[in-house]
Amino acid sequence: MYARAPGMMLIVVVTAIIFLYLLHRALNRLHMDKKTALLLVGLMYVGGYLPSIPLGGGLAVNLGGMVIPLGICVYLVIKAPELEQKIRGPATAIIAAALVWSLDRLLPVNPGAPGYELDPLYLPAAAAGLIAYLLGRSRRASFIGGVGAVLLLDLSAWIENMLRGFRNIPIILGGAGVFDVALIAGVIAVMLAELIGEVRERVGGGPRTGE
Amino acid sequence: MRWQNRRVYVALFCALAVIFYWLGPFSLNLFRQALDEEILDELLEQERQENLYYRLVDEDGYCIVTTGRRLKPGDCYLAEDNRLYEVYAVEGYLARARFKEKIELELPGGENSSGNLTPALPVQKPAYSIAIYHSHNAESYVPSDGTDSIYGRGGIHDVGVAFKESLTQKGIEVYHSERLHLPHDRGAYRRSRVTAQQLLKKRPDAIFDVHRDAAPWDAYAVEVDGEMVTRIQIVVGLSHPGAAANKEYAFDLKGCADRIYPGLVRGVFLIWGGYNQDLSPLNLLLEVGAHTNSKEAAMHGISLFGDVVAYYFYGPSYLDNGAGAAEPGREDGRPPALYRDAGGILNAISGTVLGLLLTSLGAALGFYFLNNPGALEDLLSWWERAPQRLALLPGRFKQFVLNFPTLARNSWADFPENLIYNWHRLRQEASAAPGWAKAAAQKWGRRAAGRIKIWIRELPWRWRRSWTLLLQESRELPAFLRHRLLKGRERLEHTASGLGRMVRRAWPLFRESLRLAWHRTLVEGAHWAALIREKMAMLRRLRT
Repeated sequence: MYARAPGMMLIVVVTAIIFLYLLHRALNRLHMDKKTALLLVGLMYVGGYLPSIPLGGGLAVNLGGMVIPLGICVYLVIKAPELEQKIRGPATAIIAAALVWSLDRLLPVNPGAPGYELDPLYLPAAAAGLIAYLLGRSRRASFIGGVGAVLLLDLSAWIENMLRGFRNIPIILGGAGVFDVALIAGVIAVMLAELIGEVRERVGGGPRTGE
Repeated sequence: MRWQNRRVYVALFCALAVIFYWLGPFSLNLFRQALDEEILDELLEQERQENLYYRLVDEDGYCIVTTGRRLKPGDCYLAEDNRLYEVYAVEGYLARARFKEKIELELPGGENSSGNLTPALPVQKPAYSIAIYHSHNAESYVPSDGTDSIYGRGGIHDVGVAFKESLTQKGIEVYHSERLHLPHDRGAYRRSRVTAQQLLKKRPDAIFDVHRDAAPWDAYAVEVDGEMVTRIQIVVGLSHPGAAANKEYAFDLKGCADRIYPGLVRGVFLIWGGYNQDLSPLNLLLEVGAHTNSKEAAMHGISLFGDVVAYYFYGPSYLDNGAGAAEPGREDGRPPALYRDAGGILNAISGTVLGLLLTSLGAALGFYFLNNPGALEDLLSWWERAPQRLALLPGRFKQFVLNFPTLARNSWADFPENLIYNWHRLRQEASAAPGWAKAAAQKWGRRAAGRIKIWIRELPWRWRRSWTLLLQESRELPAFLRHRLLKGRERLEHTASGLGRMVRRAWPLFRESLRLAWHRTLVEGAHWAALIREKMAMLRRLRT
């Protein structure tokens, strides 16, 4: 039972590949062609293994886990044709972050308590996906919402630590690289918005029925 | 149902299956629970003062374990005696569990095993390093720290240091992260994910998230050689796809601990949650004592657990205090971890990988059909035309049979020529092959010939052995079948009585809701009837 045993490797590699595939699909749905999406996934994977960039006060930022995803978010905001669509993404991020922040305080410290089973890992994803859908059935907004909500949550933790007088507690934005909460949130949020939106369109007779 | 709608349901089903697989069941009574006060996972100060802990009791009312974790139906617990229980009802602080099965935690390669288990892959080399971190840094021990929670570096960090020292004394490298994941709230596991991932980048053999429980002191404390020691509890989170492997590893580690220090590991909790265990199958959460125990006892307990970890991964030579003597029949000096690719862990891994692949396939198909409106119709028409194609098959088969004699004749006539041609071709190709390939082919050919010779020589003996085995088994078969039947009947009776109890309990509720529904139907019906009568009257009036 060693980490390098073939079985162990297989389990980790399969999980990773499925997640990277989902990430690629999500980027592909965000108006990027397949090659660009693959390149970005590759960059994020490699970037996650590079050392984090310190910003001072214990705050640091990871290239693959936060800088590139944020870059994608900014690109998406700039490419949005209308002002309303530009605002929708950041708005989703702020509302989702506020929701998750309050739930973090309201709900049990440990996951798995009765009546509340959703793991904190997936909470920002679910919040961003649902809010983006409610705000305007937008994949773009859900990706920006997922990544942005995690960024805001981490920043809020950093600010809270500073206010409490803990000046040097490291908070690494996107520190787990391509497997960080930020990207998991972005990808699952896009998938959720896609799922709800598509199903809603089809059930409602939809604009793209193929006739 | 229109085809378009059916497609939507297929896609919806596939996608929902994936969502549930990844996210786990999402409870709808979230907000009701949030509004109640009983939501904090860690017990409240008042609860602790009043000794209100969760007690897990079996069907006879015997208390299996006391813990500060709020239990819920579906949680499982592997008790100290390796009996696995599942919680089926929680009444206040009483969690009722039913016995599921007895888990055999026999170490492969030990005295009790069949002895023919060889390491799956002898090339595996451990990294001789272990990683430790603390998701909840605030956790502390009241008798030593004066409080149960310190905002910042709590007493749990000293326990981590003791764990580290126990391992470094044996020459094992330890990556102990004392990074704080403040503030102390539900997001701590999200922040500690970064720590876990960064520790995993150093490729340790295993990674532990060290915590403490909230429980009365006697739930964890034991006395060993006049010194107080706290026991350890392992927690496995079930809400991620790879949980089966973590579970097998936890059970394995407990089995190992049971042989060196019986009773040191109090049990294994299998509960809902992720705990970042999705990052590695070798990530476990440890609870070292409770807040009511002294930190020194906890440190002593974890250093004994360090022996277990060292023994499990690196073999008996890493036990420095002679505890290896408690391991009869293990003179080969091999670590138990080396044997573990055979057996349960392999099943867990293959099951997990298969599950992952299948759900991904389901998701991919779901989205494909969702985005390609024509694809499902094509599939359907292919399926609809299948009977026609099948109907053609007998005719084709008949034709083949009729043609067979001619085919066979022709083949037989061509056979010598074909054989000679192919033999020449093979020789040509062989002569063109490089020297080393020829030598290798000759070597392997000789070896294969030798094997075949041995196999033929052993054939009569094999036959005899198979025959005696067959006879022996056929003699034992009736008893075996009888045993299985008895077991099956027992299980059936158990299930039936459980069902009966459930029905008896649910029946009054069901009757009541049926009565209510009937009443509501009557009221609604009367309402609608009046409405229709009114409309009809209005129509009649309009006509006249």
